[in-house]
Amino acid sequence: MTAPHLELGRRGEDEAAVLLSRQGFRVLGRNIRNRCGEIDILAMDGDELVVVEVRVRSIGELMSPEDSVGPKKIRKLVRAGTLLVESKNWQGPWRIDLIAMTVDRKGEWNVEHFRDITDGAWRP
Amino acid sequence: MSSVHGITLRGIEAVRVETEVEITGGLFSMSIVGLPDAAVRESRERVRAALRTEGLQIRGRVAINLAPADLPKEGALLDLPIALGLAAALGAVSVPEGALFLGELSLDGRLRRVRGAVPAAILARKLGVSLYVPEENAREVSLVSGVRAYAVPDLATLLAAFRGASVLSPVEPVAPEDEDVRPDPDFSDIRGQASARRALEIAAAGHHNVLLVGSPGSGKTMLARALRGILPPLSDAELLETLLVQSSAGSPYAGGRARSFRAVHHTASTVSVCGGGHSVSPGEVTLAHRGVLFLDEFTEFRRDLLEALRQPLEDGQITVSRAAGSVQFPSRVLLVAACNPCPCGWYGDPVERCSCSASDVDRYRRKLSGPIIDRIDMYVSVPRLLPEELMSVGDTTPEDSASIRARVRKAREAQLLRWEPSGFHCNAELPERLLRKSIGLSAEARAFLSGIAGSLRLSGRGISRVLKVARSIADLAGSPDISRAHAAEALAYRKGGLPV
Amino acid sequence: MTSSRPALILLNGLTTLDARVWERSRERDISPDDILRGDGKTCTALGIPEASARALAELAASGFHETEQERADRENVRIVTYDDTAYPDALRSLSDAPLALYIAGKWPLCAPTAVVGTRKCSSYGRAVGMALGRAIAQIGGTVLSGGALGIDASAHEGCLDAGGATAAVLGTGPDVVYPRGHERLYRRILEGGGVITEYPFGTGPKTWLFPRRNRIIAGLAERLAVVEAPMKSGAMITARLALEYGRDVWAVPGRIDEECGRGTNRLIADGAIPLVDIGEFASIISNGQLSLFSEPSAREAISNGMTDEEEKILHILEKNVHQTVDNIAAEGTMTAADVLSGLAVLAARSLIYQSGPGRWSAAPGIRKQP
Repeated sequence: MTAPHLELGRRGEDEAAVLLSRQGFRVLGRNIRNRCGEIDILAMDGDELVVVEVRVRSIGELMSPEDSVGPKKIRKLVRAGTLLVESKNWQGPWRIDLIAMTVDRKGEWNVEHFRDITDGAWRP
Repeated sequence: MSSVHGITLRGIEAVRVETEVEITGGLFSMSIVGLPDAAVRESRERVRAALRTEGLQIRGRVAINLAPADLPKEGALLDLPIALGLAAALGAVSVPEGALFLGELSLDGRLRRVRGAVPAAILARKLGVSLYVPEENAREVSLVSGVRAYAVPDLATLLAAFRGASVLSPVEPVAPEDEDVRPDPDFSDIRGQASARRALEIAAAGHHNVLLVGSPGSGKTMLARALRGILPPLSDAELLETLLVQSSAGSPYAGGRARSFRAVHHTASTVSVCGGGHSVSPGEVTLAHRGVLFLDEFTEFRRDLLEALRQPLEDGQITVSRAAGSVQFPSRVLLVAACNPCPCGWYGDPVERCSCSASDVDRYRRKLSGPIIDRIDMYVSVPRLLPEELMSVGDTTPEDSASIRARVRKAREAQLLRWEPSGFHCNAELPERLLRKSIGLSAEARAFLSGIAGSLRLSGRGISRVLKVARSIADLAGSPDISRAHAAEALAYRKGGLPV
Repeated sequence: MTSSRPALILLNGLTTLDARVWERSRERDISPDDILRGDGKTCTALGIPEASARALAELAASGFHETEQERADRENVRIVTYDDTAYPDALRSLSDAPLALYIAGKWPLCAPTAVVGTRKCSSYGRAVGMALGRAIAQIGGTVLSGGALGIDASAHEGCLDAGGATAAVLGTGPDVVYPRGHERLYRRILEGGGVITEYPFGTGPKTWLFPRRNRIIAGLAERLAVVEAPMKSGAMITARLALEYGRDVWAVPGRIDEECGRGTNRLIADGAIPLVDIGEFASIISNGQLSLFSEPSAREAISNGMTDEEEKILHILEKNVHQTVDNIAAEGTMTAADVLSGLAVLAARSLIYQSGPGRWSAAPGIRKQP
C-alpha cells in the first residue's frame, strides 16, 4: 500500500502524459534517472526536445504546485536535462516545461502547462 | 553564420558594426558580446518578441557577436540588424550584402525612430552602400544627397521586400527651403534701444560674440532672445553640420534652415554644457553649433564651467575623452552673454542708487575677465529706458525682425562669397592672416585707425576684433570697402566702452 | 658731527612716531648716537612706550637705518629726513610732521594742488576728477592725491592723460602697490611724476596707516579740491586738515540725496569755495596766467578734425546729461549707426564719457559754456 501523496503523484504524471500526447507531443520516456537527477517525462514537441516536470498538489496545501519549483529545483532539472541531452547526443534545441496539477475535494483535476520555464534566463 | 551590418555612434560619426549570428542546439539562451551597452543588451527581448509576431520562433542557443570586439556599442539602433541576422540564421530571409540597417524594434515589430540616422547616411554614402532606416527617420535622411536610402515602417515590410514579395521605394532627396520663422520676441515688440538693435544686427551678420551689459529691467534678456529671429539661414554646408549634431542627439529635424538658440542656466553642470557623460552625448555648446549659445547672468557662472568652455569656443570643436578613445564634437557658436553693470545692478542708473562699495565693483569686474570674455567681439551696454523716454520714442512701430533679417542675410551672403574659397563662413571666424590681407580696409579708415589706436590703448587682438566688426558693418552697408565711418562705429563696440 | 639722518630713518621705521619725538630729543639733549643704540634709557627719555621701545631696539640691532639707505640708493629712491634742506618747509610747520619721506620720481613738486575724494565715487565724480586733473596739468601744476581707487585715481589719470605731472602720497611703502590692479597707474605716475610716502620699504596696507598720510597731502598742497565725499571719510579729514593749515579748500557741489554729496556740500556750507566751473577754477589758481606748454591743448584739438555729426552729438550732450543713443538719434535726426561712430570718436578723445550703461554725457570743463 503506497502513501497517499505518492499515489497522487503517480496519477498526476499519468494525467500529464495523456495531456501531452493530446497536444501533439510524442512521449519518449518517463521517470528517467541519471546521476544528476530525475526527469518526470521526456517528450518531443515538433523538433524540440522537452523535459517535463510534473507537480501535483491537493487543494488546501500551503504552496501552489508551480511555486514549489524553486531555483534549486530548476538547477537540478537543467543539470539532469543537459546530461541526458549530451548522453543521447541530441544536437537540436530543447527546453524545460512544467505541468502543475491541483486536485480538489471532489477529485477534479486543474491543470496548467508552463512552457519553457528557463526562457533564456539560464546561462551556459 | 550570417552577418548583417549596422552602426554605432561615436560622437557625431557613425562607425560600422557587423552583427554575426549563430544558432546551435541546447537550452534556449541568447547572448550578445562585443561590448554592448544596456540598451543593446535589452535588444534580446525586443528582437525576440518582434520575430515572434512574424511567426519566427527562436529556440536553441543563440550567440550574437558585434564586431569589432573592442568598440563599445551603444543604443537600441542595433535591433534591426540583429533581428535580420536572426531571421537569416533561421533561414527565413536572405539579406542583401553590405547594406546598412538601423532601427529600434517595438515588441510588435514596428520600427521606431533612432539617433544617428544622418551620420549613418554619410557613412553609407562614403561606403557606397544602401541604407535602411525607420520611416520616422526618413525626413532627416532625405536631406543628405547622394545616398540610396529606404524608409521602412516595420519588420514585416522589410522581410516581405527581401523575400521578393514587394518592392521598397527609395527616399527622395530634398533641399530644404528657408522657412519663415515666427520669432519670439520680435524686434517690433521692443521699443527704443536703437544701439542694442544695431549691435545685434551686426553680430548676427558676422556671427560675432556679444556681451550685453545693463541694469535689471533694461531688457537685455529680451534683446538676446530677439536675436534668434534675425539670424541668417544656414548654408548647405552648415545645414549638414547641424543635422549631424541634431541627429546624433536624437532631436527630430524641424524643417527649414533656422539656426539653433540654446540658453544655458548658470547652475547647469559642466557635462550638460560641454558634452560627455556616460553615453558621450553632445553638450549645449555642440547643440548650439552654427547658432547661438546664450549665457544669461554671466557673472553667476562657476569658474570651472567657464574654463571648460574655453577650448570649444577657441577651437570651434570640443574633444570628449573616454577610456576607449576620444570623440570630437563641433562647437562653433555665437556666444551671447548678459550681465549687470555691478553686483546690485544699478550702477549708472539715472534714477536708482548703486549700493555697491568700490571693492564690490572691483571684484565684480574681475569676474568679467578671463578666457570667455576674451572671445567677446562686441560690448553692448543697454540703458534702462525711463517711462518718459519710452513715450518720446514715438508711436511708429519699430522695425520688425523680418526686415532686419533680410539685411543680415544679404550681408552673410557677401561673406560666404568672399570667404568660402578659403574655407570660412563668416567674418568672426577669420584668422589673422586673412584679416590683414583681404579685409578691404580703405586708406582713409586705415589712417583713422592708426591715428586713434594709440590713445585707445588697443592691443593687437583688440584691433583684430575692431577690424572684423568693421567688416561686418561694411557688409551690412553693401560696401566692398571699410570706410572711416564703418571703422569708427566698430570702435563703439570695443571693450573699454564700459562704465568703470 | 654725526649726521642725524640715520637716527631719523631709524625712528621713522616704527611708523608710529613723528616730529614731536625729535623735538623731545633736542630738548633732552639726546644725541643721534644715543638713539642709534636704541637702549631702554633713551627710549624712556624720548617718551617711547615699552612695546615700541623693544621694536626700536630690534630695528637698531639689525642695522635698519643702513639697510634702508642702501636699498633706497639701489632703487633710486630719495630719503629726505626732517633735518635735510630738501625737506619741504610746508610740512615743517606741522607739529606732527613726518620724520622722513621716501620719494621716488620728481622732487620737488611744482605748484601742487591736491584733488581728493571718496573711493566709492559715481561716474560723474570720476569724470569731474579727470577733468580737474587735466585742467591742473594744462596750467602747469602738479596734481597731488592719495593713489586710491575712485576720485584719487581719476585725478591722477586725467593729469597724466594731459601730459602733466602728478604725485601720489601712499599709505604703504614706496615699493608696495595698493590697491590690486593699480600697477599700471603706479608705473604711469612714476614716469610722469612721483610717489611720496613716510613709510619704509615693504610696509603693506594697514587701515591705521592711511589716515596719517592725509596730513602730508594737506601739508604739501598749496590748495585742495574735494570732488565727492561722504560725511565720514578720509577726504573730509584731509579737507579739515587743509583748512587748519590755512590752505584754500574747494568743494564740488553734490546731489543732496546722495551719500557722497553730503560731505562736500557740508564743506561748502562751512565755508569752502564752491567749485562750479572747472575753467574758472583753473584760471583762479593760476592767477589768471596760463602757462606755456608744448603739446596742443584739448581746446585746440577739439576744433581740429571733428566731423559735423560729432559736433552735433557733442552739442546735444553738452545740453543734457545721461543721453541714450535713442535720445541722441531722435534729437539730431541721425541713424543709430552714425550716432555710435560719433560717440566712439568723441569718447576716444575724452570729450564725452559713458555715465551709465547705454548713457552718455559730455566731459565737464572741456569747453566754455556759451
